[in-house]
Amino acid sequence: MNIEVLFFGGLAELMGCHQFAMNNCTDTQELLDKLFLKNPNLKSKTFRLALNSKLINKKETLKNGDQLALLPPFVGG
Amino acid sequence: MKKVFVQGPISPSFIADAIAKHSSKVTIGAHDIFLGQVRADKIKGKEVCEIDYSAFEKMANEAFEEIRERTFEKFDLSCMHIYHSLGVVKAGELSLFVFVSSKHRAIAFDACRFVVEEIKANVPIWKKETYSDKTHNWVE
Repeated sequence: MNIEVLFFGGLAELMGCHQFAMNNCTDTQELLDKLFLKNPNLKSKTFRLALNSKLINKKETLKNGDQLALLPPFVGG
Repeated sequence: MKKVFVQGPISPSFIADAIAKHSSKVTIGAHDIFLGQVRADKIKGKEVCEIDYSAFEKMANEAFEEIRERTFEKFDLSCMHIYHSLGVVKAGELSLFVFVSSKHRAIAFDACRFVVEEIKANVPIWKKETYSDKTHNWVE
């Protein structure tokens, strides 16, 4: 099982990369918990999640090949 | 899908050309244009020199397309155009160009504001400000 995790804006700087792969996460919460262990500073950050480019507002089950993006608050313009 | 993102600042001549292209569309009676410009804000004694724009491009392009659809559903427009910068835009340069056209001014005014507010709220774009001393900050 392979999940592609994407980071944008200040979160990419915080994590030191724009993307990496994660394994063995059954749902988005489990993946986030693993990310928080990887970098505890992430926990205090405000962000939204997009699963396969669609915003999600609750825990979702993950399957092989999914892409999960962590999006800081939008500030276009 | 219409191309929205442009690399670097949006030039005034590009905007002038966009206006000129509408002279053949003689059912239009009103254009409204919004231009976003990078401010040299002073933050804790440091001045913003430039903003580096980045986006989740796939999702952003889909969001721009949805905004187009919603705007045409809501307002009786002849046409609309959105251009947004990616990459570095210096203070004083333009980073957003929204251009709507309709028969009458009230619709153009309302639609232009609607589009700008929708972009601000719903398009995954981020800004990294760089200051005169070369330090930077992510805008939130």
